[in-house]
Amino acid sequence: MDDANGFDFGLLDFLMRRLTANSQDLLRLMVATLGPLKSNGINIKLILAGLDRAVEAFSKNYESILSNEFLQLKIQIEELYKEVKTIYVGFDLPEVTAYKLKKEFRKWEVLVLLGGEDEVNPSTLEFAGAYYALCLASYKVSQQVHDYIYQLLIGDGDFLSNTAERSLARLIQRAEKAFGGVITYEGAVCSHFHYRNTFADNKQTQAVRDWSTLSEPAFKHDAKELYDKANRLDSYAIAVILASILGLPLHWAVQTPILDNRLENWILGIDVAQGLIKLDINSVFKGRAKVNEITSEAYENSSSILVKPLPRFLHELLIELIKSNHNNPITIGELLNFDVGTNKQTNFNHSRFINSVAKFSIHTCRIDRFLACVLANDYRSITTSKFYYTRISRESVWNASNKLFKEVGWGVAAAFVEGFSAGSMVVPKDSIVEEVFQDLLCKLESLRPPNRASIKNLLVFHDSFCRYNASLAIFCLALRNSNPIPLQSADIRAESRYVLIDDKHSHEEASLQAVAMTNVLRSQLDCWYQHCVCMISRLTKLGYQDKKFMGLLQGVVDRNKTPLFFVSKPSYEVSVASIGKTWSIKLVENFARHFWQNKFNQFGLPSRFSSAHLRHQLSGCLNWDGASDLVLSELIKQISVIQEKVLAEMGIHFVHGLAGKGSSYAKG
Amino acid sequence: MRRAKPNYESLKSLRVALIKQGRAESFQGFQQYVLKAEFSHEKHAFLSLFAFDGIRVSDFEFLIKSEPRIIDSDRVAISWKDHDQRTQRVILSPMTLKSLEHSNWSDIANIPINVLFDEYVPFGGRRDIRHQFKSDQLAWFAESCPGPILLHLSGHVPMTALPDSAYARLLSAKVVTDSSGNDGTDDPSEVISIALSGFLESREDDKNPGLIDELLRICHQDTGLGRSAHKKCVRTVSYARSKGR
Repeated sequence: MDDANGFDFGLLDFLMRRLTANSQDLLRLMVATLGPLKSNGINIKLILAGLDRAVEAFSKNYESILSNEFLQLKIQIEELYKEVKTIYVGFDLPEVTAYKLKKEFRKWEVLVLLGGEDEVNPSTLEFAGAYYALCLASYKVSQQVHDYIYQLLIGDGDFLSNTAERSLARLIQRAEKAFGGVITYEGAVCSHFHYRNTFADNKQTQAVRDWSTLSEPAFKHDAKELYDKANRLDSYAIAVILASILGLPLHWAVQTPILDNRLENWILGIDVAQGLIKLDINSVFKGRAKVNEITSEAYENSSSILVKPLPRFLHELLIELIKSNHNNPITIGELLNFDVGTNKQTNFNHSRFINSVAKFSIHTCRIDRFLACVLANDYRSITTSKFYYTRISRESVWNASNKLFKEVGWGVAAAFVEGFSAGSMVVPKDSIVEEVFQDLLCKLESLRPPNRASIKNLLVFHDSFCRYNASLAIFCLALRNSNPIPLQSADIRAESRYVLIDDKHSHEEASLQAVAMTNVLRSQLDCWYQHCVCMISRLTKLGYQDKKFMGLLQGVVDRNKTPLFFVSKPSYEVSVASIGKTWSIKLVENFARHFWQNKFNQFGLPSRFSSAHLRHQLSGCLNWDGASDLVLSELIKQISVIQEKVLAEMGIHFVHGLAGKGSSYAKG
Repeated sequence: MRRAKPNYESLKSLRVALIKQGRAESFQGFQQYVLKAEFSHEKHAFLSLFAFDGIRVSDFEFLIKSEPRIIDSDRVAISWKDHDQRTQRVILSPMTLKSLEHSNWSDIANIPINVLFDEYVPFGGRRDIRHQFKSDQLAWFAESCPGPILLHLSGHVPMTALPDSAYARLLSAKVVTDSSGNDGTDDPSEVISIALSGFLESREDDKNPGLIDELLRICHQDTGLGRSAHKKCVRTVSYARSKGR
């Protein structure tokens, strides 16, 4: 530090002396609220940039913030940031965080990360904004929340427990209440879908018909009544039908923009000209994997806009209405000249009708649960992660819509419109996966050691063989990006056709789930076992001394609770990410989850089976609990048939390691 | 006596806990053995009941008191009352039926249960073979059955099958008189009574037989069992509860 500039008492003191009284107060408040800060070598400017960014992101979702408290805080933060920036420039202060922050400084570290990262997930920014605003306004906030935000920031969002997700959702709700935010239509739509999904109770996640939904005959009766009224241009009936397909409460549904007349930012809207409802999945289900420009060619084309059709009769009615309306209406309410307050029909419970669409589609129309939820925009009965992995083809949406509309007596869907599938952007092409495995295989074969190979050659071959085995396991078992790979030698039994995996501990004991092991993978693990046996024998003969490595090899042979995959150099254990780095094409680490979800869809596998294999589960609807109708032997059969076929088509097969051909794990 | 309420939290992971033991393979080995080994028809049918039909060791002593019956053109089932007086029914597998065709049921019923355990020794080891058989069979159930059936078979949430007469009606979709009459449940009031008891038991509202009688009376008055009957029943239950009955 520079003595001439008076740095003696650290950067905080240095800044304090140069800030205005208001800004000094805020900085003191920050220290009091977020805990003491060791100021040497920390970039205060970055911290304030993060804070400013987060608070801004939180306020963006609201049309107006009624609370002066929040506005004042926001202005104060902006001013402090501005002043600190000026001081940094004026005194040419170093903009580095010189040391890794300890856990006790986590609240500060979150701000450092927020300020430093170029691309932060918008929902993470909102959470952070709500959290710091509440803290600085002296509201009580759950102690763990900043840890959850930290997890989101460092990319561990996949591993957040349900409790954590609920705490975060509650945080936003609290902030909304505390600062009296009036929410925008876009914010309301996002919150509506998010909260319904997060706070759904067991009955809702199980899609059970209860008192909040209509029975099948009642639903059909009401649907018919609405249809008749809509054909007589009853604006209430049209609005309810639209709300039921939009999956929104009536008062929000009528504020849905008509995309023909409104081109600027929207997340859910109706394209009247084509008879479509469009939903921007990126805005609603935040945090989806993004495509890296360099590797974009490796993935199937996909759109973030989910498109689904209106019933044809409704499409024609809306066209008629829009032609007769010369005011260029921007929302459905304006088009229908409809106001919820004045048009309340007390004898018809529209909420129950809107609530019943997904359940009717699942139980009566026998539409796959995922598609049924898409049709109704009611995502309480599925995990939102389905949206991260699935590509929803337009054909499947149209087919399901036709089925639903026909069943309720609304005729057929509007004419089919060609377009990209919507959903996951990172579903790798078959040819790319094939290329990755071919490359691994070529490298492996080029390193295959002769009978009298040196220790070095044996170890190099082992590492390469480990990478092939681990890659195949990551692929077939659709592993998450975890460190280390969550497989132990004891988990693999000779005759077993499944393996138990817990790579996301979000449902305590129920997080451990059975995953089908296809024959190719079983044979590969046979070869791995034989390879380890052979490695021990050859390395012992050559007098190899690395006890840890030899112990790990022995662990595989004895089926101990030791890592299944490991390389010959410290730190031995491998993670999904470290294996991913060795692939010739840099795919996202959990590419297999995207790949298989869509392969299973292509093969028409019901989503409950794909969910079980990919370990997607909801509280109240756990894959393997007492109420689940899943049968393990059936799951193995269904998954294995598809995986065997796909692997054969792609030319992916098991490869021998050091042991000779014909050896078998079972025999071993 | 009231059955203790199951701990639903522990049931969430029961199936995985059973699968984790990895004992289903031993039981599958036993199934292979029963399929391939050459036994007398009686012994084969006896072993097949346990290997393929999901008959538990504790069921056998009750099961031998009844006989298999043809329930429709191509299916044979056996139903019995277990130690809790719950009706149980199993549709017999083709493996068992094949041996049953050539044997007498009474001969099968006379085979001592130890024969099963003796045959299972190579698969389960010699230490407490009875216990080992039970746990291996349960592990197989965990892999082969959906959750609710597993909970029934493990005894955590036991279920009751429909009485024979009601089941016959369900199959034929018409009223059928059960000639054997061993269920004695043709009386509609008794069928309603059983249903009501089951419903009230789950709500712990079955302490008062007088309450059940009152509900029955309402049901008989309103033969349609429509909404009004339901409302009356709910009102009666609330009233009884408020009076501490």
